[in-house]
Amino acid sequence: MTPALGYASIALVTVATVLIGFFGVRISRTTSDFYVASRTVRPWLNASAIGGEYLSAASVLGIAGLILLQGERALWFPIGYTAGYLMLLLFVAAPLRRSGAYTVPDFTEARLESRGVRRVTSVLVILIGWLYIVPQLQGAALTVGITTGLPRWVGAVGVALIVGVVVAAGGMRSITFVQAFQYWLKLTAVAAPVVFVLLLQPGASPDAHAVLTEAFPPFSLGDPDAVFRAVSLLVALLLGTLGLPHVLVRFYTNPDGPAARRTTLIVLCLLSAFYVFPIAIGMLGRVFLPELAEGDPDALLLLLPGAMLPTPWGEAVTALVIAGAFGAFLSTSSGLVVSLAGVVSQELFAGSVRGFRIAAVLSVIVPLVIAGVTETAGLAGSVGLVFAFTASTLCPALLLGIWWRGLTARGTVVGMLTGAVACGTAIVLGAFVRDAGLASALIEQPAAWTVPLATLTMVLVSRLDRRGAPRGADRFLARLHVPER
Amino acid sequence: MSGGTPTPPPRVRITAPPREETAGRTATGAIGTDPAGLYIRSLIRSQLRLGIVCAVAFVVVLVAVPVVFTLVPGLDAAAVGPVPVSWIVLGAGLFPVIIAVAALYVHTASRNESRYRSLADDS
Repeated sequence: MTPALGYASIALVTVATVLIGFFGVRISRTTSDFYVASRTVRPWLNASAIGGEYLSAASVLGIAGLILLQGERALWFPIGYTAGYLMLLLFVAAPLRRSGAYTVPDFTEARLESRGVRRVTSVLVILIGWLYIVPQLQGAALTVGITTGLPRWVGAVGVALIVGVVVAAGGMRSITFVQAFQYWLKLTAVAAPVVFVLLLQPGASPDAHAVLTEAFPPFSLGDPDAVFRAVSLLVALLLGTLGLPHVLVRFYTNPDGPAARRTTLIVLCLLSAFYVFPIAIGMLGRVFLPELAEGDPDALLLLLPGAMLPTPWGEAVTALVIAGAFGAFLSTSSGLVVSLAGVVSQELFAGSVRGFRIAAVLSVIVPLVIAGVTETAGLAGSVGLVFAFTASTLCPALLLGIWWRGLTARGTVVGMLTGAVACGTAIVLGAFVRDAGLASALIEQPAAWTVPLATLTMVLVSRLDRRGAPRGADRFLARLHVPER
Repeated sequence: MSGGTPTPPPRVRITAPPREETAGRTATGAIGTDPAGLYIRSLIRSQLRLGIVCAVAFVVVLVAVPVVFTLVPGLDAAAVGPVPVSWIVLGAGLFPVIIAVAALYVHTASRNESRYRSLADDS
């Protein structure tokens, strides 16, 4: 691969991102502009922005890589990533919008009338955000390393720098435009290789059906280990989306509850349209470039166009793909940093604009350090673990908070901490356990037991709490569910 | 996009969004047994039931896929063009199901709300 191509694409997407970001600054003036874009973002723009924010390194690079490695089993990832939004629509979208809260900690504080709950939620949101930014930076390191030949840390530091500056300067309104632009860029980037390969049909095609069925044994319900892993992964992905701070903060930008629902429906269509392509790229990779599975499977999308297309097309599509992948790291990280900075600045700096800027910088430095000292074990897998952690902590608090009046502050805190400790321990242990079998599946894919554990704890402790439900619970629930005029 | 506006709005100092006072200001926040409270409770219950029904419907379809492929082993050998059927079902077939369930939910949830609105307006 020619380094010049990598430099050009990365420079172009960065300039575009920064320009749109700063263009947005000029119309971002008031407090609520800064935090939630005045809640007047239209459903299509908002849905594109949610799509752009959500489709991270895991979706753009990771899924194709995982399909190359694991075949059909990896198809649960795109299904789970999409169906998570279905669960968000069914249980969270409209009520959360009506709650009028700006961040998840705002919501739990208002719902449970407790500063303590707010503090615990804030810590969890910050932790989840950091964990989620790490794979984005690792994806950036991989992309920059492969496409330009520079040392890998340059990519991680570059993305952290750009995101820190754009977020600190512009706030959320500019981010909305950046994110919407990024969705369409990413869609083009994953669609182009598939379309061009199918159109140009280079070389003789091996028997795809034979390759695919030989490479991967069919999924069987007779294998308890595989079944547990699939179930646990789906629990994590379906419920984890409910608690992702950068996803939730987007719902406050809808004008009202029904608009929040319409936006989510559009998001589901956008995600479905997107995921067809990484799946197709994974399949093409397995059929034409199986040798990549031995090296960096996450680099499949970056290397496939150059390897399969004739010269002018190969380079052009590669440039587009690099831009799209780099866009993914930029957009997801900036979305996360916006939501983190909102929470950090409210906790530590009384919500001032200077505080927001300091918080934005803090929010990129910590993950950068973590990304520097850890090794990535597959982008889709590490993002999947963050989903498991979110599903075991923030998700039960949100679900019960929205639908069950009996939830108490004490129950929420104990439940979230139980889930955090159980899931956190499993994730840390899972980094050291490396053998197959049901016992290691329990540790490597913990969501199937940590989510029920956290939820049950929350319900039981709330029931036993002698102080009872908060006094305003009924009124708050009415506000969440009664339609606007 | 903002080209038409001659003067930008004045710059405002950014502060935290106003936090609502919810704790213990009024004697009771409980929804009573009056009709208004009953309508709200029944709205919440019907929206929750709708959400659960939609979620269960989706999960049933999701679980049915591996079950069918295990029970009918011949399906694995089947293919559409060069692509095995199982890949098509998992890789493309479930997305329309998700969108269909979502569209059905949005429609029914709005209907529940308009039913609540007409009840609340009557009383």
